[in-house]
Formats: sequence, structure tokens, C-alpha cells
Amino acid sequence: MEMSKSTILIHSADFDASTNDVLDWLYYNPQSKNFNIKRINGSIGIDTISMYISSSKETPASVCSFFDPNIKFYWYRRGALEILAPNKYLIYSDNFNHVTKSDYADYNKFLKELVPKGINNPRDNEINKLKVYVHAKQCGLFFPDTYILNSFSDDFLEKLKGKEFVVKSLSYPSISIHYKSFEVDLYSSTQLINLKDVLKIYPKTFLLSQFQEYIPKKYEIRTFYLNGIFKSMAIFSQQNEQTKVDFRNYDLERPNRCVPYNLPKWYETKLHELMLSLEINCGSIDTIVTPDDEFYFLEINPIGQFQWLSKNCNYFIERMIADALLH
Amino acid sequence: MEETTPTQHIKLHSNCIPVKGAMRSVICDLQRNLYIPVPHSLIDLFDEDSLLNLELLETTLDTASLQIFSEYLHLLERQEFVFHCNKLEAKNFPTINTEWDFPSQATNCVIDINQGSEHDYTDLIQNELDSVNCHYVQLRSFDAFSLSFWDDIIKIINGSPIRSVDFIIMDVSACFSHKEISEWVYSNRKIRCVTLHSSSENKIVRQQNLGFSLVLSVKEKINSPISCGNIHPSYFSINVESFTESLAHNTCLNRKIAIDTEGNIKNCPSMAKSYGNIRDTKLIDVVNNADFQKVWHIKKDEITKCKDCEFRHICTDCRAYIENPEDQYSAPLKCGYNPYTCQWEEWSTNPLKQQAIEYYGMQALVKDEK
Amino acid sequence: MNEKEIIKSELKQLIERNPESFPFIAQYWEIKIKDKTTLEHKWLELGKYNSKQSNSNPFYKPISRMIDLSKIN
Repeated sequence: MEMSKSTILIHSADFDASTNDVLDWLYYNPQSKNFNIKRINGSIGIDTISMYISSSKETPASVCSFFDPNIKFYWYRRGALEILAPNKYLIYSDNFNHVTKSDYADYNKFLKELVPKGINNPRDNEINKLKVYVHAKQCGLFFPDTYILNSFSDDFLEKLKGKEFVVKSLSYPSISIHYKSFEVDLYSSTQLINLKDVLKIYPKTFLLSQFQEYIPKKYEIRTFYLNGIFKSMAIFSQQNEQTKVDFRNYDLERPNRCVPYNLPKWYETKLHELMLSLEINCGSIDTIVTPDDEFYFLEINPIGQFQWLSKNCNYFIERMIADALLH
Repeated sequence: MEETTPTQHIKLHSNCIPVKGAMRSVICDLQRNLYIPVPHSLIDLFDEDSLLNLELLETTLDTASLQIFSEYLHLLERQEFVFHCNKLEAKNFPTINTEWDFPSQATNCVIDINQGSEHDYTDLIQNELDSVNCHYVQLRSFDAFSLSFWDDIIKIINGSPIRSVDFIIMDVSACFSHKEISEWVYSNRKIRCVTLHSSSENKIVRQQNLGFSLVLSVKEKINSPISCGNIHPSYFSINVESFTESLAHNTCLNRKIAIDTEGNIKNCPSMAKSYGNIRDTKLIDVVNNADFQKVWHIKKDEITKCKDCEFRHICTDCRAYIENPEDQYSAPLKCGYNPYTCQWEEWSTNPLKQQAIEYYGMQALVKDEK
Repeated sequence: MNEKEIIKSELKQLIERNPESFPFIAQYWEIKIKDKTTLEHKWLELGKYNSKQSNSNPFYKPISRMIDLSKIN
């Protein structure tokens, strides 16, 4: 009888080039012949599902029918995973509809506990910045003072006196919208504001936004983290006026100097502790090194871009991921 | 707060690597893909950690040397080859990893085509190239073919894992117009470049876009692989991949696979030795053949002249046409650069190369070019 | 004013008049209207990779060097 192959399930988006790069290393590795490599793209709406738990010792803690027991490794990179809910209810009752919705939300959350082990998990996308900073504080990391506001509090205005703050949207640096049959990109690089700017515009309320103390930087560090391994790169964005505040203001003609960098061990230890406490096993981490050589932790992007880091520093991160998928 | 350590040092960025030639050095900027020649004496000022102590330098150099140095410092700063730092933080900046690796048993493939060729393109692209994970292909033709012939091939490529393809094809107005070929290139976006040879003029027919969709026409007639192996600064490849590959491998032949007009599988179409024909031989078997891999390991540091050349880690080698056909470590025949004088000269008229030119039967080619 | 600029100023006004419906950063948004022609984008496919790419990467070095570039220019 032929043994059925184990599956490596890659959950991504069709446009994600890094997934292709990792697949290159998977296909190149002769070991991959022993696996069934499956890539699924986009949002997965599960229409039939049974989640099962039993006190019997023979069955695993809990099982979900959606995940084939042959799946040995699950790499979550992009896209959503959820149980399809009806978009129309037969019985129109606020109460019933509300309960159903919250039941679904609850089990959708629980479903992410049941995904096979691997790299990242769809729930990693759900972390919010303040929660990350709460954990970062417990790990003894420095980070810029951060406000999440939908209106200007007196406390914030007081803090703004004589200081500069960085404004960001909560999640995406850019959004695409459809407007009158046009495809429109709305984007802003990170914007510096002071008290004067705020008083000039001063809307009473706005959608939840992030305001962060401006930390002067000597250089910025982008780190790729995977299960305790750190691969870091220094980005010299300071020389370049155009990219001073946010290195995403790419200067294509003359890209910022990007070179391999080793974070100090004490700092890596703290970051590792942070990743463990957040239960995120892979991600991109941003750090600022100030002119006084202080390390400010900025953010974690669980599904961040690592292609340019890998290429600039010759780190072979894609090979690392492929090796982790194959063991 | 305690006073920070003064930044009295400059350090070369780890992707700006100095390479010493016989007479001068070049700094290869592997990130921004450029190189700048500098005197050895400038490179010698840096220690083994690529550090230079500016304060110390002021006490050791005389005024005239300091003046020259300050001009070079300005150059290094303007190019962002160096950054100012203190000795402590410099330790956090390691050298760049010099490993070369690539997820393909054959990284690139040359396929030669003439009227007599009987290649099965579907099998070649869908099965054979895929079996060695080869994603970069160049098709070179020596005879006239219709656009529909090329279109059949690109259709197979479009649905395959191939990332980029180059075409070298004969420019025949009876087969297609420049406008037609430009439109064809525009709608098949895996095409990096189409070079039309035997054309009426040298010109850019279609500008490149993000490194793709370039169409060039050249007057040169390309009727056999003998035209290959040119060495010219425009062919330099200044990036991490090429640089690291050149440290341990042959920069042209490493993991290359070639199929000549008759279907013979070779390291390069210009080389004599065949390892079987694609009719009955699998590419994966050839690529795994130890004998086939031998030329992969001829490094620049072992080649006469190249080992003294400051461009050795950014220049692609040629092992098919060499100055002394008896010596597999002799310099590329078509290289006109002299690293002992730092001058580019015409290679084809060099008296020392005439014997090899005759050996390869290049007399006609060389005459034609003048 | 062309069509694009009209759309742009409409959106600008919309944001200015309704700050409560936008994040604060919206005050600084740059608005880029895409060309309609680029909407019908032709994707590059990569067979078994099950991927759609908007552009590809070239090989990192010349695959062969057939043209004598010293004879051109």
C-alpha cells in the first residue's frame, strides 16, 4: 500500500512574490518530493466544518475537519480564514442575528487555535500596537510614547508642547478605493506634526489614529525573526532628506544604504522574550537606533516583507523558511 | 547622560567592496550596481575591519597627502561608500555573507536555433527546464523565422514557471515590422529583451520598462555561436549574486545549461563537448554529471590576467574562446582590457591573439567587424 | 481641469469637510488616480506556482554576450 504523502499547506495571496521565492527553494530541495506542496491564495471561506473534541485518550485534544490530518506544516502568509456565515438570515430577529454573528466570530477566533503547527497563524494579524507595547514594556524595551486617539485630549496637547509627533494611520500606510469608476490610491508617508499644525487643523473628532513621539535616528534596523533566529539590516535613511522620517519614501534612483547588522545580544534577548509572550513565531521587527546609541523598538509586522532584507544582506531568508517547512 | 563616544572612524559599508587589481583598485557598490576606480593607497588606509581612524590619520599623513585624502573622503561620502562611526558600534556591522547559492540545478539556459533545428519546445520548457528548476532562458536564432514561430514559443513560456526570457533573432522585414515586434513584446511581459541582429541600423527600438520589454536592433550579423564571449564594461554585473558567485565559481558557466542548434546538451553552445542530445537525454542527468560540472569551478582568481584584474568579480568570464586553447586557465580571448596599464585595447588586432583567432576560425568574424 | 484633477479636488474637499469620517492622517493624504488603462492588467503566471505577478525579475547577469558592444555607440 502506498503511503500517503504529508502536505505542506501555504496560505498566501497570488501576488505575493516571497511565496514564490520560498517555493523555489522547496522545489529545489530533493526532500520536497516526499511532500504534497499546496498553495492556497486569498480568503478562505469554510463552508463545511466540524470541530471535534473528545475526552477519550485516543483522540487528539481537538480536531477540525477542514484541516486534512495529512497537513504536517502550515505556513500562514496572507489572507483570511473564516467559517462562512450566511449574509441573510431567514428569521429576521435582531436578537437571533446578533447571537449568530457573535457565535461565528467566537468560533472563527477559536478556529485559529486549531490550525496545524507551522509558521505564523492568521490570528497574528489581529495584534494591535498598544497590546504589543504592553508586552514590550514588560520585556523592558524602550519604545516611543504612543497615543491612539479619535480626538485631541488636553493631556495629548500638553505633551505636544515643544515636541514633534509622528502621525500614522492605524494599519495600512496606503489604501485603495473605488471612486466614481476610478481606482484611487490614498497614501501618506509618515507625517511629522507639532502643536501648531494640530491647532491649525484641529478637527473635533476623527477616526482612530496613531500619534507617536518622534525619535531622532542614526539608522533604522529591520529584523527578520523566525523561531529565535534574528537576521537584521541597518537602513541609513538619515542622509537622505526625502526618507528621513519614514524609509518607505523610497528613493529609487539612490536607494538608502542597507547593510547587514547584528543587534546587541541583550536587545535580541528582549525581543525574543516579546515574541514568545505574543506567541508569534515569525515576523519583521523595526527598531530605531538613536544618535545616543539607544535602541527604540518600533513595531512588529507578523507578515512583513523580507525580500529586500534577504537580498541586500545575502541572508537566504527564503531558504531558511523552506528548510523550516521541510524540517 | 554620559557623553557619547566621538565618531572618529569611518567604515566602508559591507556591500561596497574594494577589489585590488595589478595597478589600481575598484570599489564595487553591490547595492547600487556601480563601481569606482581608486588608488591602492586609499584602500590600504582601511584596516581588516574596513575601519579608518580619521584622527590618527591627521597625525600620520603629511599636508599634501591629507589634501588628496580629503578629496577621496569627499568621494567616499558622496557615494555613501562609508559611514562615520565609533569603534564600538562598528562591531555591530559585520561583513556581508559571501555564500553563493541559488534554488535551481540549472540557473540559466541558452537555446540555439537555426532552420535545421528540431527542438520540441513544449517538452523542453514544460518538462525539461522545469526538472532542473531553470527559470531564466535565452533563445538565439541564426536564421529568419516568422513572428508566429516566436509566438508559439512565448505562449508555452507564459504558462510556465519561467520568469524571464531573452530573444536574439534575425531582423527580416519580410517576417515582421519593428512595430509588430514591439507590440508583441509589450503583450508578453516575461520578455526581458529582444535583440534583432542583421538589422539596418543600431538603435533602441523600444525602451525598457522596469528592466523588461527592451527591443534593440544591431547591424551585426549573428550566424553562429562564434559571435559570443564579448567582454565589455556594459556587460559587467555589479551585484551580490554575481560577486559572491565569482568568488567560488565560474561566472559564465556555473549552473548554465545550453542546447545547440542540433539539440546537443552542452555547458555552452560554443564549446565542443556534448553530453547527449535532448531527443534522448534528460537535462537533470547532464546537470548531475560530475564531468559536466568541472568547468563550473574555474574561478577568476585562477585565470591568467583575470586574477590581476580589478574587474574580476563583476565581469562574466568566457571559457569557450580563450587566448591559449591548450590552457583552460588562460584569459578570455575577446577581452581587450589590460590590467597592467588600465587601458581597453582592441582585442582582435592584438598580435598575441592571432593564433587563437585562427584556431577558432574567427578570421572572417574579426574582419567583418571592422 | 481634466477629469482626474476634478476627482482629486472632489476627494480633497470631501476629506476637508468631513474630518470626523477620516483618520487624522487623511489631512496629509496624497491622492493618486490610476490611469484607467492600467486597470485591465495582464498578469504574469508561473505555472505550478499558482501565482499572479504584475511584473517579473530579470536574471542577475547576462546569459550570453553575443553583441560586440564596443562596435556600437
